[in-house]
Amino acid sequence: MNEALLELEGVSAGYGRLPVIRGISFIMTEGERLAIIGPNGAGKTTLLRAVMGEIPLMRGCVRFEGEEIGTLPLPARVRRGIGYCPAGRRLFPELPVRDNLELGAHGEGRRERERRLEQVLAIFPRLHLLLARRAELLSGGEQQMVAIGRALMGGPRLLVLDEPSTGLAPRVVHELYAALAGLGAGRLAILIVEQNARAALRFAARGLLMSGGEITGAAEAKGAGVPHFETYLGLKREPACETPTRA
Amino acid sequence: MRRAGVASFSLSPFLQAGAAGTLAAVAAALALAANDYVAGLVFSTAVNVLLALGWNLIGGMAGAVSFGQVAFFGLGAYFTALLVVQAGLPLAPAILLAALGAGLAAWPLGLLMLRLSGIFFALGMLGLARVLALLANALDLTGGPMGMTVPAALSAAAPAFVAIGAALGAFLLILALLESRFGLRLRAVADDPASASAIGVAPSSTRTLAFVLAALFAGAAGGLYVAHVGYIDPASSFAGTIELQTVLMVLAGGIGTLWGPVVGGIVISLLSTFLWARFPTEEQIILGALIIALALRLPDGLLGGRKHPRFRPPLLRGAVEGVAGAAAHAASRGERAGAVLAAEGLSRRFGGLAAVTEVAFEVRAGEILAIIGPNGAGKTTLFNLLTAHLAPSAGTIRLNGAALARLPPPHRLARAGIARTFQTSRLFPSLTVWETLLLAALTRHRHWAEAEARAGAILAALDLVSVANQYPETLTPGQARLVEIGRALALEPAVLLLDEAMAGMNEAEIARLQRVLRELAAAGMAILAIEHVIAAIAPLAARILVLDQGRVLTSGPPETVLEDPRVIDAYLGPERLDVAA
Amino acid sequence: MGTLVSLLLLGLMWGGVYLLMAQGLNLIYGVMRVVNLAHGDLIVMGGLIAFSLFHHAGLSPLLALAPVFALLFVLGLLIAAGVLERIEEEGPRGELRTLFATFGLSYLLANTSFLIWGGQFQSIPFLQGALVLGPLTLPEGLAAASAAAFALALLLHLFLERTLTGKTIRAVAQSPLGAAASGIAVRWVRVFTFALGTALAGAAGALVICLVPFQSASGPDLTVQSFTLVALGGLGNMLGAWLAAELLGLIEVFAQYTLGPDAATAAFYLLFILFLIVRPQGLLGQAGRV
Repeated sequence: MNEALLELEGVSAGYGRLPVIRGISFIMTEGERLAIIGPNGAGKTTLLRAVMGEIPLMRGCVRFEGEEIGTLPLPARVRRGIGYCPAGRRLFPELPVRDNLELGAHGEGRRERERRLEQVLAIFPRLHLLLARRAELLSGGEQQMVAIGRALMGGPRLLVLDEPSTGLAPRVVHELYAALAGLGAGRLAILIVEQNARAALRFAARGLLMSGGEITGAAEAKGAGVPHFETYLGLKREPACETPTRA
Repeated sequence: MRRAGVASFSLSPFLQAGAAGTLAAVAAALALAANDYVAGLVFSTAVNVLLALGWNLIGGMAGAVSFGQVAFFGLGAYFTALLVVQAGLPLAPAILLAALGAGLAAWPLGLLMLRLSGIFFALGMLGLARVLALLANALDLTGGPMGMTVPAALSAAAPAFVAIGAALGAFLLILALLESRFGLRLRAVADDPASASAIGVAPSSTRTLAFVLAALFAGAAGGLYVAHVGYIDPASSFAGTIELQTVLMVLAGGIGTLWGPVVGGIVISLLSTFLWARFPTEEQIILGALIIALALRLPDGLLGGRKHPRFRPPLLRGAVEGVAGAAAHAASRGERAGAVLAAEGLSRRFGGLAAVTEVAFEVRAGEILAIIGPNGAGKTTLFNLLTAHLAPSAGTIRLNGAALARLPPPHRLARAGIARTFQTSRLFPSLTVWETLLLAALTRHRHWAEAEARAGAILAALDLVSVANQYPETLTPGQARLVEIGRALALEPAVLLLDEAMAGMNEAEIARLQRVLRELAAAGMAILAIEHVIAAIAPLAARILVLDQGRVLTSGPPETVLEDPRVIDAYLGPERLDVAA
Repeated sequence: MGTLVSLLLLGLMWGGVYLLMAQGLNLIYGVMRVVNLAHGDLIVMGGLIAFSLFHHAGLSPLLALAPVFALLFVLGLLIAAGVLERIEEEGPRGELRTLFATFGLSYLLANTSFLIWGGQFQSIPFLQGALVLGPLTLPEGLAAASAAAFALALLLHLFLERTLTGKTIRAVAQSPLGAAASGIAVRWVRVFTFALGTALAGAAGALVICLVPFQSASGPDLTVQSFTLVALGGLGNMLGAWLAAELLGLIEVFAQYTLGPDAATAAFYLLFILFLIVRPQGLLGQAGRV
């Protein structure tokens, strides 16, 4: 059996009293790339926020590397090895790019921070020239690179990305996914939530389709499972993909 | 689960008034029968309740927390002293005039101070109290720092009766207000000023009225205080201790509740009398610690945390005219011939970033226009421009052919006939579904019965009758969305703006909403829907306009637009990776 | 002419002390979004502790800065960890709870000071000589206090700008979620920041009490003065805060000279109210960053 890296079992979560997502279960293994796609309001972001501990679980549990992490606060989950790029990027606007990145490894010594910074710059060479620039002055694509870079600075085994392509021009999206595809040499698992279904499914080995707070379909083969446009948007009613979700 | 939000019981206003009257009678009997010490205690308790009722009206019910309500206490005290000493008036009319004077002074001050928001209002009021104290200190008229002696009331019982009467009067006035449309407005404004303006309620005038009444009560309390002690000086009339006690009373009883100030006023008055007798030097430390303890352990006070609907729907009679009826009224406000809502060359830049560029469109009566686009396409910015939350950098918006002012206050826009929903549902947490619809209907209808009929029709048409007395927290996201749309419809707008109304709805709810929108359009309402869920809006829309990167990518009937490869690319990302990295 | 220049210099020196007063408040609001109504009472407490150290141990107020700083830091830790971080802010009007708690704290602290030090106005007679510069004479005490205040303000600035801990604080102020997503223990940063802000308030108090006498009940005035500075200068804007402090220093000195101390206090409040009416949102909302 392949080691489970992240395991969700019957997770329900939401805001106030009513759950937005219900009974979500899936397993990710080491180095796996999983995309969660679906229309606005399907509960994708809520799912990530529950995984990261931004909102409490109402039911179910979240395990990372075999240990229950469902009650840990967000920073503790990050320190366990889950890198997180929240929706909206959440950079430190008035700090320079270098500080933004280094704060992702604030618990490490200076030498280790420098080493990781070099690694991140190797992935996003464009950031080299921008190290001294304040984050708020970057373009959307550059900001997204900093956000991913900052998450990588913590040395994660799992990277969680919430809609990285939002507001980016198609060319920039392509560039971003090209960089993501080269990450971690198969060791780093990536969980990504996207509306840009094609980009996400070209990148991920597996996709889960969410709607109405539940997982309603899955696409297994890389690149092959891009649901038809109209089906994805719900204009036609037919099963999104051949393989049903594991319950 | 559901039951939590439904009121399990509620007292009728007459019972509540009776209870208050009984309480007052018991207090009066106590003041009359017992010795002067007890009468004095009854007096100070009644004055405290009066102060707390006033503070709660502005700080709790209107949601404008003040740390300087003592300013009006001091003002009332000084007015009374001056009227007695300088004008030779007897105490009773002096107090009455002084209270009215404090209220009158509060009107311009309220208009001014309520322009401050949140903490700045609270601190500004603290500043106002300080400035008035310094003024009283500096003037010869007020006797400077030494103050003045005022002939006090002879017995302890007489002022106690007056104080009880004043507190009872204040309570009954607040009760009556809560039973009126003003009460509904006040609750809405305290909950969410932006949402209240969206249904035509002006937050500033609503709050100013609450501010004036609160000052009136505080002024009366100040006048009574002078009559009791027979002496006045700046230090004691504007004392921070008074503010501390008032806030503590309201917090202890339950902020924003009707009975909270009464219960808190009695409990804290007795407690502080006891503390003052036993631990005179530590009293304020203990009271301060008590506030902290309340914030930590009992933030809703003794009575808070429970909500009772004040208004319930009347029995809905047989056939209701349906939502189309509401729309028919509304359609009369839009021009049949031309565009109801039109935009020309609308642009908005944020610094160097062009969020919306040269967008133009028009919506006619009876037409549904859908505006779609991927995330970040500028949909929200466009919506904010149309609802006057943002001023356009260039371009004009026309309603029935007339250009709108650059940035009209949202409540004017709502009254002019533009109704909107919010992207993330923004219902009023302390209003039931029925109260929400009723409040919006009251914006259009002066007569209560007409407003009720209108709200009732919408309630029925949207299948919300079963949740009429529930609070938003107990609604499903889909129901909450329907209530928000109902609230907009109750304004009988010429044009209805929907901001991602179908996001987060289940299929049944989408189907119901589609039916409603069809009926509305058929009855002649103009509808502009900004949507992400294309599937839900495409079957309804006469035309679809696609935004991408702030510009109009294309527009036309749904069939053509949705086949357009550029649209597909904008949503799903380009099919081929032919762009160089 | 000589008087005018003297007043001008006095005002500018006062500005340094004001700057230090406002900086703690600035920091706490920026990071915790807590409006600390007890700020002035903490300044008073710091001043009165320095007063006791001077009278009972003969410690110069400049040397007393260290123990005052340390004591108030610990007090700040207790308040933040014991009260502020424990308040449940969920639910309607939850954010008001913290405000009310600091309101109660203000009375608790002021009356504790009253129990310990009584209600008299106290002052430290420190460097009472005059500094003669050509035609100008300036009080030595003010010059020394002002220099110390500017030095502390500069140290704080360097700490926030240059050290990793300081950057962590700024990160939390600029994006709490981003900081948490970077693995920063946001809760502890908030507690630490409150303690630091409290310690700065105490240090400011130790300097202010050398210049003007104050009593245990002076807290609210100092709170509003600090808020006026913060509102005028814009949060996190070092230059803006400094300019605002200088401006208010000048107003204070000139109003004192021409109208007397009460009028100076009134001028402060009126300025605060009028400024905010012109800019209703204040500058807090717009630039709430450190």
